[in-house]
Amino acid sequence: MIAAMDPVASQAGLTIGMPLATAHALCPALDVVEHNPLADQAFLERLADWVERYTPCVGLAPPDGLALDITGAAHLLGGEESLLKDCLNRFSSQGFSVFGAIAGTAEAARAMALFGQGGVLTPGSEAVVVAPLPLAALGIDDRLTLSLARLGLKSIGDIAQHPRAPFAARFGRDLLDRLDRVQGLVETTISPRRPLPVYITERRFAEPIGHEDDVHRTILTLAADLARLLERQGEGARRLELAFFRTDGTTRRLMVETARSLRDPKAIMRLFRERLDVLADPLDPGFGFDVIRLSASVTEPTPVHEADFSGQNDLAEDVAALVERLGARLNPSRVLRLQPQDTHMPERASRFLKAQEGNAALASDWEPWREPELPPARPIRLLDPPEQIEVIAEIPDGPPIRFRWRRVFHVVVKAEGPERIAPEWWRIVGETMPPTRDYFRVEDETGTRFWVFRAGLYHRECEHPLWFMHGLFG
Amino acid sequence: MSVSHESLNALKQSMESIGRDGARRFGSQETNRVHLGFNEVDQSLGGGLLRGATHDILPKSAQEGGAATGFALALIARLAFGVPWVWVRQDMAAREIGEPYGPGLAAFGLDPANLVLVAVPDAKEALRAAEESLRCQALGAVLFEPWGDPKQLDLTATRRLALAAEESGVTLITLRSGGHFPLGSCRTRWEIGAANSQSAGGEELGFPAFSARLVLNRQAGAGGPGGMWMMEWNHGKRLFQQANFGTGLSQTSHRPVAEAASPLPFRHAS
Repeated sequence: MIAAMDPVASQAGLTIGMPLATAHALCPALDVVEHNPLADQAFLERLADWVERYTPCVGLAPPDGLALDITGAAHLLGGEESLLKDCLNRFSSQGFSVFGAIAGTAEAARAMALFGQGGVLTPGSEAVVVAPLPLAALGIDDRLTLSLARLGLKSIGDIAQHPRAPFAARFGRDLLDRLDRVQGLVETTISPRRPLPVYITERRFAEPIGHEDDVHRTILTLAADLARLLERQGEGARRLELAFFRTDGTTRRLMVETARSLRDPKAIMRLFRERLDVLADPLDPGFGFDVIRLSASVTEPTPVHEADFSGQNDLAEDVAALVERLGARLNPSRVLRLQPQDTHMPERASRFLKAQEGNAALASDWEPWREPELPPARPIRLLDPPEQIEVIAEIPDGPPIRFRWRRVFHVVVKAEGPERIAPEWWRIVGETMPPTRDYFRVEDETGTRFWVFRAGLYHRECEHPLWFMHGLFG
Repeated sequence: MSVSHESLNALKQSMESIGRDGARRFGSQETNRVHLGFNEVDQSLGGGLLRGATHDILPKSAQEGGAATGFALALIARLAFGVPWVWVRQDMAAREIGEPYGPGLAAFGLDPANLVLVAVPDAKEALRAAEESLRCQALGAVLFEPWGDPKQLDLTATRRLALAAEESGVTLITLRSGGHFPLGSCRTRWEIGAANSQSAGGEELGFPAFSARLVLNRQAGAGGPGGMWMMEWNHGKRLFQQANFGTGLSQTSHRPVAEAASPLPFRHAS
């Protein structure tokens, strides 16, 4: 079946939905490419990325439409008319056949673009303008269109002039809802593809820029603009996004997360520089960027800064800034803090958190692990996963007297244990129970100290339990 | 509420380090040294380990990565009491000898809440991250752990680190896990091996013990070229002490009296 075709095919008398055999009969020279809805979808997403140059609020209208909410964005391009013209021109110059319209609701604009003459509708005129359009403009399926046509209803106006109750009773609420939306009678929203940023600043260039210094300077001015916006609201940014729109339609986005609410333009600039520095595929300006946009997608109120006597606040701030810079360069998941967990299982008792993600780790209390009078009961480094070792033990339940780890023999001179750690049965769902572990702290003849365990109790759980190396002591 | 000697000393130190203009001041001989608690070693170092400098720790053998880590962490505990510190470690080090373990660090006398761990994929990034961290004056110390003998760790790179440390006053401890020979320059270099712990009973493990050899000593006022000591880490007091071999029982006479005798909490009483 034909899913889409070009104008030449259309002139040859083919129609969408026609079986392929029929099409071949009509036009033997037909070039056929298999329909790939996923690729279409992906391509539509890319186009959506590109039209974000006009507004950050872009919704997909599959299979081949895009809905833009241009509220408050049109004046940047000299009004709605010129925005529409600019957008359509840019699309056609890249070889798309495109139709567009601007109206009070996305549905009315869609109807006008696909079934009317397009253009900009004056506010409030939607009901009148869409009246002569065919029912398909409502976006209803063919069966419904057919049954309405049987009643002699062919255009939107035909339905609109009739009483509503019988329609609702017979065809459902949905039809009337669609009618209202197309006529611009109700407010509708476009569901954006990505969360809308809270604050946006951008620069448009008549002459595309590509030089690194220009780009950096632009980022700094954008950051300064953003700082002003944020300051007015007493807020700071926690997540920032920088979008580069290339003249040829490619877009590139960079995101940084901050460890504290941030609005210092220089600090913002530094974060993005770190990010730009380590890009696997460097920012390629191609023929230049014509729009660069900086947006703050997550913000929070900035606490009023008070320097106290000890300068503690400043110090915490300095550490947060360091965490941010390292995170921007390496990746936030590589800058970590430790947090204790309430569990017996050694490998879960200490968890790594992203250092940027708040202060939970800062406030965590490790005091229970401290036993000042006794030698440390836990290793300073933990192997994850534990490594299997070969062990000779004197008695089945006893500590090892010799073991081999990584091909080196160790003779145990001191051992303490066992410390029995049973699996947490209440956390295990559906799997077989892991064996009980008996932990030993052992010291070999050179004085190296290890944390080893035997997985499983002799006879009760298994016949030949395995031994593992789990950590190193200082 | 009684104020411990340690917190009083810390307060005195921090007051001394504030200049008349309110800015932090570095360079005075007294506040720039960190006593390790082990008198012979402190004398040999000319009064303690120098802050704002770089110190290397090389494990004596591949097997002694745990001991070297322990010694490095003990120095960190001396340098960064109650303040944030950064551990930059290469991924390879974590795979080979394990990740830092919170309960273990706490049991060793460190507050894991003060640690910022920076995981880096290679030596080049490790150097960058270490230098970046050294420029942050809020830190008590930076523990820098590249893996093996990376060629990036040359004279130029280590001098850069030394310069950064000197400017900010933050101390760098380079832990050469998996390393075989000394690389680059530093103020002091230690070769750390494991040592049998001393305990009352035969079977029990004692306090962490190290055989420490000071192989390079370029500290101003250093009393000697170097030396070798059996050092025991008392994590309750956060001090080194002499390991008492032969007696089996630790003798109090060797313990320094300059610092508080009671076990110290992680945080100053507030």
